[in-house]
Amino acid sequence: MRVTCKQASHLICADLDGRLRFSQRLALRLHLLACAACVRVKAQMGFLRRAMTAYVNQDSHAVQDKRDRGKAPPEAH
Amino acid sequence: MTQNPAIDTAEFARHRPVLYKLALLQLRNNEEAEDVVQETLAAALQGAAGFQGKSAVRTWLVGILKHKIIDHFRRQRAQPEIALDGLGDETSTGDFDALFAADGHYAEQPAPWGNPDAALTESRFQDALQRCLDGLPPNTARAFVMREVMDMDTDDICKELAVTATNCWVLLYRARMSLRLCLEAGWFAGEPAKGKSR
Repeated sequence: MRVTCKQASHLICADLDGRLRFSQRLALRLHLLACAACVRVKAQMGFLRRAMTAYVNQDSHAVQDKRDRGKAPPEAH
Repeated sequence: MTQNPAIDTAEFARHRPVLYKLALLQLRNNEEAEDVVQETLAAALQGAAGFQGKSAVRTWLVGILKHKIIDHFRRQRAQPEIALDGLGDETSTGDFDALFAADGHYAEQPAPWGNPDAALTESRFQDALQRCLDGLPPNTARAFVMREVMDMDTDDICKELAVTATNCWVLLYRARMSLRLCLEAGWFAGEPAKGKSR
C-alpha cells in the first residue's frame, strides 16, 4: 500500500491514538523512510503530546518557585 | 493512618489555575468550569487521606477533574434542552486540503522546529500554546484534551462526546493539524533565536 503525505498525516494521528493496523503501520513506516516532510510532521505531532504534559504541569513550577524557594523544583516528566 | 500533611487546602489552591484552564477548554463556560473545579477540589479534600502519593498531586487532581467533566457532559446530555454544541463543520478535514498538492504531497514543506522541547519551560511558549488551544473549535478542544491530558482512549472519547468513531478521529486529526500550524505560525516561525537554532 503506497500512501501520500496526506494519507500519512492521518496514519500518524491514528498511530498516536494506538489504532494502526499492522498493514497501515508498515505502509506508514515505508513512507517515512522516503519522506522527510512527514518525518517532521510526525515529530511535531508527537511534540504536541509533550507540550500538553508541560501545559498541565506549568504553574506548579512558577508558584512552587515562589513558595518553596530553596527546595529542588519538581522534576519535569 | 494519618492524613498526608502535604495535601491540604493551600496545596490545592496551587493547582486551581491549571484545573480551571483545563475545565474551561472543555466546557467553554466560566461558571460551569468554576463549578467542576469546585467539585473536584471538594472531592479531593474529602479523599485526601486516600491519596497515596504514588502519583503527583497534579496528576491525581486531573484524574478527579476528568470524572467531574464527564459527569457534567452526561448531565447535559440528559437535559436535551441544554444540548452540547453540534459538531458543525468540525467533522470535515477539508480545510486542511490546501496544505496538500493534488498528488497528496505537501504543497509547502513543513518548517523545521529545531529543538522544540527547549520551548516547553518557557512561559511565553505556554502563552502561545494557550492561544492556539483557545482557537480550537469546542468539540475539537474537548477531544484533544481528553486524549492528551486525561489520557482517555478514543473509544471512551467517542462515547462521552456522543460522536461516531470516525468523527472522533476527525476531531483529533483537526486538533493536531491545527495546533501544529498554529504553533508554527505563532511560535516557531516568530522565534528565530529559538525555533531555528540547531
